[in-house]
Amino acid sequence: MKNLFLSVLFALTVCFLLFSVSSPCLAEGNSLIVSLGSQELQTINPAYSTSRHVLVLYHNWGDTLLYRDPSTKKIVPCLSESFRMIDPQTIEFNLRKGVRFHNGEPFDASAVKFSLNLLKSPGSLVSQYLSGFEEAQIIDDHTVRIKTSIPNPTALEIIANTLFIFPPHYYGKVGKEGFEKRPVGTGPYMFSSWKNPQEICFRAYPDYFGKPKGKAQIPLLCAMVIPEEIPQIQALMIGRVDLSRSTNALQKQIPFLLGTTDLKVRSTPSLRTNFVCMDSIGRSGVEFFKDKRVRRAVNHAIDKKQIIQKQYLGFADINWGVTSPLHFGHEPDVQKYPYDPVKSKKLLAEADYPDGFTVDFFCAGVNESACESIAKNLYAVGIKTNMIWMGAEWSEFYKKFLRGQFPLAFLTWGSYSIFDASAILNPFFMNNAPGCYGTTPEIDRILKEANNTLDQENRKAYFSKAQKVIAEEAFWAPLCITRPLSIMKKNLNFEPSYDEIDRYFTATWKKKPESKSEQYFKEKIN
Amino acid sequence: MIDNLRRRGKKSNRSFFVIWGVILLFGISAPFAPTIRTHAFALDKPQQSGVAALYLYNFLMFVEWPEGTFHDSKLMQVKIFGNTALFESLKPMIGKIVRGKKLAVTEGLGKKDLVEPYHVLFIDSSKMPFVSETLKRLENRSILTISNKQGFTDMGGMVFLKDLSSPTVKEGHAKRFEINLTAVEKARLRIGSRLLRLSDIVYKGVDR
Repeated sequence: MKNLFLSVLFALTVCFLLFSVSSPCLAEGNSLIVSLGSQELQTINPAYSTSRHVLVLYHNWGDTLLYRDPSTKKIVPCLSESFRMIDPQTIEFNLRKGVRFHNGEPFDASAVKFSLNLLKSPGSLVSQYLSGFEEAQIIDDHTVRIKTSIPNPTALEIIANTLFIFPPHYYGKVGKEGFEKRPVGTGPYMFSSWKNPQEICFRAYPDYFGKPKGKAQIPLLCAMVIPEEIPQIQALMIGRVDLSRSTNALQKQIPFLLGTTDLKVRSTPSLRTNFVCMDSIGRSGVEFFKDKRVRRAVNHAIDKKQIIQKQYLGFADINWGVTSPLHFGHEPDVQKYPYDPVKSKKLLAEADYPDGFTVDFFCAGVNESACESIAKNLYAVGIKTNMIWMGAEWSEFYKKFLRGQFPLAFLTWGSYSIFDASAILNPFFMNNAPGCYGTTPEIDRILKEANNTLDQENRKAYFSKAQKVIAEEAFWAPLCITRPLSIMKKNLNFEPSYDEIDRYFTATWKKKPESKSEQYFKEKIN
Repeated sequence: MIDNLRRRGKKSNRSFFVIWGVILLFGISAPFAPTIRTHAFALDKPQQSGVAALYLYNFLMFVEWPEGTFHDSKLMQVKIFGNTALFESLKPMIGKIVRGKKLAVTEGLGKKDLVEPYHVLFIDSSKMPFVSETLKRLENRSILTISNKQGFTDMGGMVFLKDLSSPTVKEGHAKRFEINLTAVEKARLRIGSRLLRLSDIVYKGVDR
């Protein structure tokens, strides 16, 4: 009997030890729990997602050859030690030696070649950015040359943001699905567990090589999806989460949070633009917006100033064009369509819609109240909308958008954190782009010219021209450039970055001030 | 001698199985065990009232009152009946602008409150004996009635705030309120979709 008791005791002790090692201890100080927002975490593999939070998480558990240093805003080597232009279409990278993936697999030139091929393959959602990248040539284990089909002025930014590096042997062994279950990278954090399909945890990677990102400061990182706005705030209030990832949807909760809770809010300017996209070419089977007068009527119907003031609470700046002032090539001097419902109705009447019409209006990934306000503004001039809110289903929304199924949509675009006008103009206004719902041969030609030159002054001129034509044609009704919010506990040191890539590995907890008794004992000891 | 050894062998076999049995059981159940942070989420009173205040604030943000109900009143008025902790949680918001109006929050419910216009009335579960009478007096007026008492909607109330304990991820999908749309519609109020998505919607008669 005594033996049995001792056996059980021994077993329980072993279990306790095992549990404390295997289960992340989520006490504050040891851990950082991040609310990713409402978009479902359908995949963690950045090759198969356009969700911002998948991109953000990747840059915490993975690395790229280059890295944007948020303090200097410069692109610096990361998985590479150095790089140089061999010719206008070839960049040579000397890879960092001694780097291993989290599973022990060595990082070398074959990983770069494998990753580029994977990211360019059919099904990859970042292939649109990498389509101009021809191949990765292995020179030796630690030297690789990346060739582009034409001189690519944004090559370094694209490599820094979207050339995600995968472990070839592991990926080959476990496949896409296995990788999904247990992602392996080289980054400051390494995968620990899926708590459930909407919550993933990481541990600091002890052998991380360090510069330029630096080692993770907080040992455990968990990231979770909470599908609705109010429960997200509740989770912050009660300490279930420590930080709400940069968002452009929680502005209305700010007065309450600042008034009644111990949380702080940070915001930064960004590339993120919110806009209404009209189907000007009839891809969705709806013809209304083929008429430029209707598109202009929509533009005049929307009261941007009021929406920014009331729904974004000022955490956004009015936008008349397509790009953000942070994009290289931003053109502020474009045709403006000020709020003028009378003019809007007149234009609708001229276009043979004196009584307006009814149309489906799809929204996701944006401020829900802003979407409702736009619908109200449109209703006031006679355009009745069936508003379809796909809040948490960004992936599904975006797939449908690319398939050309939306006659009218309110969406958001962060340009994959590429600070160049091409990152928003190419995916939406080049003739063959799946996100194109309206362009002209002239715009298509100008954008191609801009893509074919490395001369920045010429590119600027091309982008300027393209943006002027786009505004004149009123393909979109741009609303604003948002200043995304990060909401967090006051004792968390974390600064969101203007590129909307949260670097959780830089976060630290403030030390609690010493209590009087602690001070007393310290003095005694001294 | 041999028997003794056999017995010892059986005993040590038994211990072996017990040890590994317990470890195995623990191992299987460990992934399902809540994390330490989740354990700590039995909300204390101030947290509960803080969360209730958050919900109340969101009702103010996302409910539409019929035009002209409050004429040109520059106040957004809330009455809290029987819940001082909730009142205290909302206190820092008093005087702040909510939807273009100054927020006014008062505690208690006097006779004149049954005739004067205001937007929201929260009735605590401890004040249930007064509920039927109060709701009857407020009939046909566009006042959003909220309570934390189970069965409030059966009595003709509009919103029942459910147990306000922590949102685990699973709870992130859970319904926070019960909304009686019959009563809401009768009062000519419109509740925003983001609140309805968090609600169990019921239709319960308001004839008393």
